[in-house]
Amino acid sequence: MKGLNQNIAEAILYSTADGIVAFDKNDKVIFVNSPAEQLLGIKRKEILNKYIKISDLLGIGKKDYNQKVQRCWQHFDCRHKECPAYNEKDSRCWLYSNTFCRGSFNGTFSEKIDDCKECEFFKLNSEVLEETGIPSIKQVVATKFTHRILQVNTNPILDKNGKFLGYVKSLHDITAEKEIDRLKSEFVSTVSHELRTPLTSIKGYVDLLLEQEAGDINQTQKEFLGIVKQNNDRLVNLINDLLDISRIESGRVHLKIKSCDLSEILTEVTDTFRTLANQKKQILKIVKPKILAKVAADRDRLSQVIANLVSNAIKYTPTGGSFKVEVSQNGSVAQVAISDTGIGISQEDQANLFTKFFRVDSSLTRDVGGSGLGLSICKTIIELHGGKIWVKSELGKGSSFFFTLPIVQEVKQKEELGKVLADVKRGKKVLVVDDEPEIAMLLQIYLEKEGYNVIKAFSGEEAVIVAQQEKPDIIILDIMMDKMDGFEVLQELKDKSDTADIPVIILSIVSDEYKGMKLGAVDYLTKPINVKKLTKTIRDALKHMGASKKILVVDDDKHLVRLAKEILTDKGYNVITAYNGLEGIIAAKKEHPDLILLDIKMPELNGYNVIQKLKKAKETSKIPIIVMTAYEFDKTKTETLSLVEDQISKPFSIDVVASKVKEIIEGGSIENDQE
Amino acid sequence: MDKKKILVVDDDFNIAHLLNFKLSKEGYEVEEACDGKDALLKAASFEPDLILLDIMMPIMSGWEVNEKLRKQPKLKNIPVVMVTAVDQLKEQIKSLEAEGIKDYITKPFDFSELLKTVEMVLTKQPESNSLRARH
Repeated sequence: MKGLNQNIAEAILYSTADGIVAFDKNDKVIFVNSPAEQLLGIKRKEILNKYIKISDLLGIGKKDYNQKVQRCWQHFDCRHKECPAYNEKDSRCWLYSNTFCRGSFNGTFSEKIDDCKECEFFKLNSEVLEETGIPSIKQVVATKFTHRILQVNTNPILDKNGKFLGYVKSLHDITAEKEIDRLKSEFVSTVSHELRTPLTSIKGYVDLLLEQEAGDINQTQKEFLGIVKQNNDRLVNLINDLLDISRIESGRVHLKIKSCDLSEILTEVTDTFRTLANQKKQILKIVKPKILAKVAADRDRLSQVIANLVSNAIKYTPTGGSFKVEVSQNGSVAQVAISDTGIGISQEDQANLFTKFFRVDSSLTRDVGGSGLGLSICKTIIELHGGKIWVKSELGKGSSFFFTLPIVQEVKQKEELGKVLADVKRGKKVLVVDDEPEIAMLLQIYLEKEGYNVIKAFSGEEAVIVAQQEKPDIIILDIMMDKMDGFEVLQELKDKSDTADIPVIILSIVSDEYKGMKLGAVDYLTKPINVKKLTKTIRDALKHMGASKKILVVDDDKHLVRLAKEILTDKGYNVITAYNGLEGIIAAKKEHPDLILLDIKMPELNGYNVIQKLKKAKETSKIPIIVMTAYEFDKTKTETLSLVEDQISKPFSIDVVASKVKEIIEGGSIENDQE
Repeated sequence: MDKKKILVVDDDFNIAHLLNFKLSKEGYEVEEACDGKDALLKAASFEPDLILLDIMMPIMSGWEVNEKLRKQPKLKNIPVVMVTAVDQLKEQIKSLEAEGIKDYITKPFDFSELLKTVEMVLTKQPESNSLRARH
């Protein structure tokens, strides 16, 4: 029976398309299947029963990269393109590791795992399956000899007592997928260029003719040229929409969420459509409350959504008809309704309206044109903001499109602000780091005018040294510098105890704020420099320093984290963020926040596990926690939940969050006497 | 007042001609160039106040043309506006970062946008020159 089982197992292993290599606990190769031979470019007999490391088989020298990779591990952020494990899509470092962590295995496996759990490398580099207690490690590796891109999974072999016998590496070839990814983005950019060039000529010359630059044209000619122009514009829009969708889908769209004046944006957008509406003799009504709180949104993207919906309303409202744009405030959300008096949409079509390339089939829609991508893009954008979008419609009576956006509460300390600011900036020392002397000089001129004391550094290395010697009150840091870039400087500053607390504002043309924020920058500015914004950011950063309480927000939903950060920063708190449970625990240990806002439903380490771990560890047990979830709290976890200070259910209102946070932080240790 | 001189560079003859036509109508003195080499020669002889430069050209890209311009003492102060069909934010950002490049226009463009940009760069010119001179 045992023999048969072994035969079956072996047959399975040989027949799979993935490469499989098994090692015993001393790294001796005990099994190699044929796909593995091919993927590694090696013969079975050459390695079987030899003591060999997987890194050697893959042709990647481990030692050279160790130092850099350690840094990657520390902040989940691999920027070393030369690293064999570098992966552009997922910049977390999935370094190949020969075993589950450094060092040799002694004792039982579960003992080892317990030890490992205390090891930073292990924490950061493995996906721990808490339930089973067995870790499985996934990495993406490019082989040197066969030039394949492999996804390598590592799993332990255990006996029934949990003793470690060895491990299995399965090698899954993802070269083709990667290649398709690359081809797709290459294709998109080529298409973009090759289509736009001829369209540029068509549009330009038709415009010239229509403007009668090449002589007078008669009415019929004008009409025909108008049709050419219209269809050309339609093609251009289609290309733009396609590129937009492809960017959104590949996750290349990062929202720049700021607090925006919704009614101002609405006016701005509807104004651009006035002429069009007038041409169709349509009446546009705008209804908005006198006072409307600001919303948290990316201004450009929000304008795009509104423009899309308004242009639809104009298209589908008959000549001489009317349409309406209405804003209202409903608790913690602002709601926008754009209603037309057109043909309406059937129940059936409403269900599909927001899907890609869907178009209601009717003679009117064919006349009106469009790519069928607009609403799908709107939906994605609104949902990225944490809002909702929907439609209400009745055939023959018109349609109303609704969307919601989260509201940002106003800070009312404006009058006090002026006074505080004057004190704040007097004689403060600002370190400006930029490798272009021209820009450093420019900043110095701006800032000295504002009354700051400015010192300069022209390279990353210099910046680190100057920061240590001079102890500036704040640092303005350029990212794109030779040799040592801004992110590295930031990391270095935060690593050293004497510079870790100096607030850093990143100034760069690279718009990658997540990275900077994650590394501990307090704010982010993009070039070209906007003087007003620059000085405001510096003032804010200095104001928040010292006095403010630290709040850690842990949620795997990036946009929610940003939103919470926005709200709480606005209230004067110093907000640090983490995007999964593990990061959260590490941040809590490192930063000692005054309060933690914790999401329950996260992949890998969920909120319940995080609570247990935080409350178990001495240094974090006293930090109050507020949990948030969009789901019902799990009834079986009430014991765990009893450890936390408060609960919030999603979608939450900003008032509730702010007041709960305030209550706990300022209320002090009232709740703590349970322990 | 002297007519401002603009050099338009595009490997697509139709587009170069289109720009030429429209800008001439608006009262500028315009010269066309069809590739990078031609552009550098004409920049030296025509001495334009502004160059409208296509990015994706065979042999020498717009970036390279700009770099070469900056290396020649006589030409290095001529402002450049990139005209690009490449839909890549990266490229656009790069264009603002590179020395000498004042703005960019995406293809297909509206005449109103084109004229506004051209006018803005031409009127702003002395100011930015003085900024460079200070350094």
